Amino acid sequence: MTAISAVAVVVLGKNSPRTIDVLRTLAHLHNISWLASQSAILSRLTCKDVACVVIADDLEEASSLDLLRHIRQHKPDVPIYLVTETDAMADAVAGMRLGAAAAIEIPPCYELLRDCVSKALDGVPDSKPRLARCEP
Amino acid sequence: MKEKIPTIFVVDDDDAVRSSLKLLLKSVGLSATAVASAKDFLATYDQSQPGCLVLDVRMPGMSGLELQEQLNLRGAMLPVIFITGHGDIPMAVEAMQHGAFDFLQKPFRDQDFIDRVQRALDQDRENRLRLREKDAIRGHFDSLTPREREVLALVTQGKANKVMAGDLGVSQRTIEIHRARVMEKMEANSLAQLVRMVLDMRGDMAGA
Repeated sequence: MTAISAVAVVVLGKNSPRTIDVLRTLAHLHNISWLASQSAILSRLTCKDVACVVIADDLEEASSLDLLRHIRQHKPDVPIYLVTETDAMADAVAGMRLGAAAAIEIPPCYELLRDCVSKALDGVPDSKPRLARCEP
Repeated sequence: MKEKIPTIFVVDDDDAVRSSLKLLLKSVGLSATAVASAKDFLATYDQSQPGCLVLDVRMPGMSGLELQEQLNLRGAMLPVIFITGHGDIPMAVEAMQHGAFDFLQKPFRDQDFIDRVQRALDQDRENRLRLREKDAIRGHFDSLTPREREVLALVTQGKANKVMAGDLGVSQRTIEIHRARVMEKMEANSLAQLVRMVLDMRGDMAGA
């Protein structure tokens, strides 16, 4: 039997160029599926290899929070990381209440994002809360 | 037993914030108590008191996040709404990851604050109700005899009376009597409800 290699699904939104460099660097290390529409995301989530989702920004057709809610309904066990504006405290808190594993500020810290995605891809249980802060 | 009136505990080192929030909460008919430090709150905190906690993040001495940690260690179920004038997203994420109910940045609109407090009180009411139900089920289970517990285990495995009788070396009639007693003592209206109770209990024990 061939082992299924885990994939991180990264959702690219309309303002994602600001975070794309960090995400691209991440792609050198990890198996990443880049998606840019809600239908593509929901369809991709039907596959069993999805280890985590990074919502990089709002999509044209759905806000990050709407998308988070949808993904939660379809894949309640998959950790979701929400990239938010630095001044969008309310969105970050709402995202956490909707079940995001963490909210990460724009521009996302590479080490923090890599840590989140790596742990999800390695199947490390997300039981311990992780400090969503970039240590200097 | 008379239900305790929910209380909103405000913990903030700023006198003006404490008195204004207390006044605001009282203006909408809510019972509020305000203290100036996390230590003062912990010294008087009674887990059986329903309500919610409105907590400043930054305070001299024990911070709001440290108080949250202390409450988590004590297994407190009080929903916590953090308020801060100098918060950032990592701080909010940390608080939420540790189980905060909400995180509110100052200045906030009075109505937003009241809405969140009301939601936190609803959450606390629901949590306490669920806990009472769990305690009741545990109490019912504890009242079962060893034989009734054996029958319960087999019933929830989906075994038929005839099979259970064979497994336990008793007559089918005896199984029927035990089964009826189990349903009665557990206050279950259906087999599905009984199975759900047992699964919940197992889940709680596994998570403990």
